[in-house]
Parts: sequence; structure tokens; C-alpha cells
Amino acid sequence: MFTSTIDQFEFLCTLARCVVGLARFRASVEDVHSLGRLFSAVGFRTWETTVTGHDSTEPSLTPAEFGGSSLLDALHGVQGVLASRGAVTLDLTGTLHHVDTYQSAHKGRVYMLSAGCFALKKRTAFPSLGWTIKPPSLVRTMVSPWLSVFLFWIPGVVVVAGGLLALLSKRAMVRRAAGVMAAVSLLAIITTPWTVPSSPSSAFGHFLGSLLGPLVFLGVGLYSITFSGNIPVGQLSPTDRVTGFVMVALGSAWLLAMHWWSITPTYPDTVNTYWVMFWSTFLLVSPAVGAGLMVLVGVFGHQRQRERNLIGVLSMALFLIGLLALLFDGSSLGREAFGQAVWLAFADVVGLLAGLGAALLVFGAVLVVYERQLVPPVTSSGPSKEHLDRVSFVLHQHVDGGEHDEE
Amino acid sequence: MRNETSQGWPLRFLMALVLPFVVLLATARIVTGDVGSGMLVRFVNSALTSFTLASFMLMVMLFVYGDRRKRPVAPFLGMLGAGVLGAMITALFLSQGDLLMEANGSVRAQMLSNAVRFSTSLLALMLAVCVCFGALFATVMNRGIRPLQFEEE
Repeated sequence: MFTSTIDQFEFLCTLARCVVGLARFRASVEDVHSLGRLFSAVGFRTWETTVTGHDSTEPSLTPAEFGGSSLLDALHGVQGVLASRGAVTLDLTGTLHHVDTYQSAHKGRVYMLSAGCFALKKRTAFPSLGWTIKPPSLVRTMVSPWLSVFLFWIPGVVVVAGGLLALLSKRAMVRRAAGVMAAVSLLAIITTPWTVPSSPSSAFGHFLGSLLGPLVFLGVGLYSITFSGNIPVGQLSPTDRVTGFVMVALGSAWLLAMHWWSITPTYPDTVNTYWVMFWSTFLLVSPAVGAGLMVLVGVFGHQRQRERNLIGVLSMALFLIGLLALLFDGSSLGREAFGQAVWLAFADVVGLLAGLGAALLVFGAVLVVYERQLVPPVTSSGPSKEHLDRVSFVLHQHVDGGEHDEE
Repeated sequence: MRNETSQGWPLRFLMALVLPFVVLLATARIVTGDVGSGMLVRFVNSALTSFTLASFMLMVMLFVYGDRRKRPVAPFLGMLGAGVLGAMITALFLSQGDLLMEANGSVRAQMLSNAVRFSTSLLALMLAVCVCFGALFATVMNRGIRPLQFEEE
């Protein structure tokens, strides 16, 4: 992959001199992104995403500065392809046959480094290219894949494992520790927009942070309403009931405002993809769940007409919200985009349920196969005549009162 | 114990589940003018990812099962095999060019993106279920105490 990219980049060098390199004396990394789009426009496939932006707060280097040996020597040994957004841009003619044509020991090869690209070495022809890099970002982007592993993916696993342990473990200390670890890991995920902003998965952390407020309001509100009712032990006060209703209303209004008002989760410059996925899936599924629950309450409930009607009203309200989102534009999300998201959410939900169902089938099959292989328990012989006589004697005593004292 | 009007309830339950989906999807079709592109790719990605991740999570459940059966290895290995098979099938399909890739740069990026999308969809499903069941419990618990009525013999 390195060698083919070297050849690609060398080809780019010659082409860029004519197209981009001399246009500006100080060019930013985004120029490569533009070049990537140029090649894509004329039909060259891009196997990977193009280079993304750089840290605009840091001054860019001029080609002369870039060509300085003091800078490049420090970077000479650094190599690595980073699995992030800014990876290899172009696949011009497929995998090129790479032949080492450099005979001189003084000449090296130059790669371009950006948010997730290759390492940089020195080449004498490079200063005429006109592209720049930013060394502090270079170090940060080289480290960011490992940061995303330790600050996003490992906490993600800990949240799931900690949650399961907190629910299933028999020991109180383990449950407490697992709960604390899960909470800390969740916080780590939510702070990824600040800790690993270069990782695409930080958008999920931003989404979780945006959703935390309305979820807390809805959860605490429903809890307060439920446990201020006819609970025999630990009943909450009527004031808590009113507070619960207010919190549910605020949480619902917050969610609606995230679609139709100016607080739509946006990261970094567009609407958060995971928010769109979540909102479309929620509005697609919740009316169906409410309607199904209404039927079940009617079938299995006894004199539960009021509850059935209330669930029906909830289901209809959620359905109407979904319909309105499809018919009217949101503040940042248009109805066409939301409609596309609804179709993709449908595919997601069906796929998720199909995969879960298949996994449960395999789980059941594994247990059945294992249980059938177990050795059946040894059956004991029936009671003997002495046992039966003893049993009848004891029964006779208990039924008739017996002639003996119980002492 | 079911009510007298419970005849044919499975069909009514199924219709109640499906009808909102149909109406919303039909409306989306009218608004967008087209069925969403990339649906099959998303379906397959979602199915493979949920199978793989659910297999690994069910493997954790086997530890609880193992407490009752003196920790057998065989079912644990079975679920581990299912999870690994799911991951391998996912990687195989993703490596076949653009078959299942969704504008991601590499197979690993697509697999990680699938895992995050699975989490998002699962969160939405769980919130929908929790809101509906939470509302149901709130209405049930806030109902007044009904006096017991004994039928005359």
C-alpha cells in the first residue's frame, strides 16, 4: 500500500505543478482535497476518503520551510497509515508497479501527511509543490487512532460489559464497581468531541451528549409519575407527580425542538448523522410499538379501557409527529433528507431484528445440542416394602392422632 | 386469562405493528419521490453486525448459564464460533469491493461504522420501547384503587 501510494503521489507531484502547486505560494492541506475531487470528477475512483481539513489555528508552512532539513529529519523515521478520515486519496490506475528508481542515498521520498495520511520524508523536488503541512497536528493525528481506541472503543466495550455485570452479578460490590466503570466510560465517550476530534466516531459521542438531557428528563419524569401512584411501599408525594409531568413535557419538547428549532445537534458543520439515524428510527418504530401495546392491553387486560385509550393516544401522537417531520422541513434537516433517513432506518431496523433473531436461534440451538449431550441422571429404584410400611405408619399416626404423645 | 374479544388478536396485533410502518414509509416515498438508495446494503450490514454483536453478548449470558451447569465449555465455544463466523462473513463481504461499503475508506472503517450505527439503532429501539412501556406503567399505577367484586355463587 505504501509503494503504490508513493507512485501515486509522485504522479500527483508532476500534475499538481501544473494544476495547483503554483497557484498559491502558501497552500493549505485542503488543496489536496480539491485535487482529490478533481480526479474523482474525471472518473478516477477513490478507494478511500480524501484528505480532510487541518487545524486552522496553526500557521501553515511555506514550501521553503517545509523543505528544511531540520524539520524533515525529525520526521524521517515516522511511518504509518492512519485509519481515519484523511487517508489515501486516489487510485489512479489501480495498483502501480513500484520500482525503486532512486539510486542516490541522499534522495528520499516524500509523502504527504494530513489528518490520517502517511508519514513524511524528504525529497528535493517537493518544495516546488506548494502544499504545506502543520507539524503539531502531524503528531496529534499520528497519535489519534490510538487515542480513539482508548477513549472511545474500549470505553464502549466497558459500558456494555459493565452494564451487564451491574445487572447480572450476584455480588453487590461487583455490581457497584461495574456501574461506576460503566458511568465513567460513558463520560469518556461523551467527551470524545474534545479528546479525539479527528476520529469520525466522535460524532457518536456528540450525539450521546446531545441526547442526555432529554433522556434524563423523560426517564426521571416517567419514574416520578409511576411511583407517585398506588404503590404500597415507597410512594412518592403528589408534588413529585406534578414534577414528573412537567419533566416529561420538557423532555418531549426538547426532543421536538432538536428537530424543528435551532438546537439540532450539529457536528462538526452539518447535522449529526447519528442524530438523524436515531430520530428517524425512533419516529418510525415508536408508533408501531405503542399500537401493538394497545392491542395487547386490550386482549390481556381486564377492565383496562382507560389505559388502552391512553396508550392509543400516545401512539397516535408519535405517529403524527413522524408524519409532520416528513411533510414539513426541520430547522436544519429537510423533509427529503428525513424521508431518505426513514427508508434507511427501516432497513436498519429490519436488519437488526433479523440479525438478533438469527443470533437467538443459534444460541438456542447451542443450548439444545449441549443439553442433549448431557448424561441423563441416574434413576433411583422405587421404595422398598419396608419404606412403604414406615410411610403408612407415619401417615396413620398423623391422620388418626395416634396413641402416643408427640413428645 | 384473555377477554372475550380476544379472537383473532394475533392478526390485529400484527396489523397494529405493521400499519404505522406502511403509512410512514409510503409518505416518505411520496415526499422523496424514490425509495431510499442503499437500502439493501444497509440491511445486510445491519443484519451481519447485529448477528455478530448479539452472538458475543449472548456468549456473556452463557457465563450465567454456566453457573448452573458447572461452567461447561462447549456452549461457550459454540457462541464464540458463531460470533467469529459472523465477523468473518462481514469482513468477507466488505472486502468484495463496493458490495457492502458505504462511503467508508476501508473494511475496518466500515465494520466500526456498522458497530456505531447498530448502537444508534438499538438506542432508538430501546427508547421507543421504554417510552411506551413507561407510559403504560404510569397510567396503570395512577389508576384509583378498584373495590374487589365477588361474583355471587
